[in-house]
Amino acid sequence: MQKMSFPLYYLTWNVTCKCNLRCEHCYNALFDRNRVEDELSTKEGVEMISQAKNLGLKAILFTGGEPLLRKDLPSLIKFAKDKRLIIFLATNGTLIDKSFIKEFKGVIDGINISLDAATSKKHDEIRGVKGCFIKTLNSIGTLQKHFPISIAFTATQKNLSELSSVAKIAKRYKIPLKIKRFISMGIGSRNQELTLSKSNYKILIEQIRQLRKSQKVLFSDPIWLSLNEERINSYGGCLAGIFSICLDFNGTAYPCTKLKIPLGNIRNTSLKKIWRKSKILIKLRKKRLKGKCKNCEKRYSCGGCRAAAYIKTGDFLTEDPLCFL
Amino acid sequence: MSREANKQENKKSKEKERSEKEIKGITFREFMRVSCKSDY
Repeated sequence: MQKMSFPLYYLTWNVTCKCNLRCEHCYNALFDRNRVEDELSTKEGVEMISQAKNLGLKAILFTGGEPLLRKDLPSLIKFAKDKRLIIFLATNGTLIDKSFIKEFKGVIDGINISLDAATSKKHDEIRGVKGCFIKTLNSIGTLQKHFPISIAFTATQKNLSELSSVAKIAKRYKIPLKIKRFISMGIGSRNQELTLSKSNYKILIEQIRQLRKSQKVLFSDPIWLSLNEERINSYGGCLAGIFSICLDFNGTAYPCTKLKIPLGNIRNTSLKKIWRKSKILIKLRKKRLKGKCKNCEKRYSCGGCRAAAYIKTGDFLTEDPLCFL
Repeated sequence: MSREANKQENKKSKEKERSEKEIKGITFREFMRVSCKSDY
């Protein structure tokens, strides 16, 4: 196994920490979300993409903060496209206009738009800004004619009851619904009560099973993925730091957007050195997991969510707190 | 630990080591199907 190569297939880049919303579950740790002084420059961003490409990069997700608040986003995305990368964008959908379509049609390969409830009252409350629900819904209607888009729903204790109604919206627009598990970090760490309980996680799984009978619903969670995967002798599930990495707006690298253990900063260490030499990444790849995950036959093909383990115990190798298998 | 228990423990550890040698890498296409980024 030591000789196995680990290409960096997927990079999540939080291009900015600026945001026009104030979501209660945000993974961004900065309270001053208007600051820009530490942001990687266009030149640094382009250099980073080139370095990542040399490590095997195939796909890049531009996210934030709200990535559309970054003025040089078109040039960064076009540079990545010229490098033949698959381009994904995660946005709150409140800043979409006609120029966006003109600029990015045929360039961006997939857009995720966050929608956490099916009514203005609840969505706006979760997202902290009045009127954002209508803007997001209008953007979904506009974008679905021009891009492959999907609705991203972050499941919490508070909005689980909204799932079926949000699913109806996705169905109405004939677009996939993509569900994520809330991890209590960043601003979200102030709202730990939003973390799904094990019993509600099971309810979520059952709801997803039911919804999938009539529409496209995806759940990017290692436990869910492992329920549908027989393989045990290859990597899958949580691949934080194994085949993917996250880069923050200021150049700090982390294994995942939600596993915020700093690995180094590309301003003073090359991405190659971080990717190949980081002791944390080596530990993640070796899968020396603890607790229930230690002897699980699916520790490679599932591995549990390392971010959830880290938030719960401070040790990123412990078991996934929501595992019921 | 008794001799027998020790033997069992060694056997388990060797089996684990052997099975880990069989762990395979994945292609990008597989990555997009089986990883927690697969939703994109």
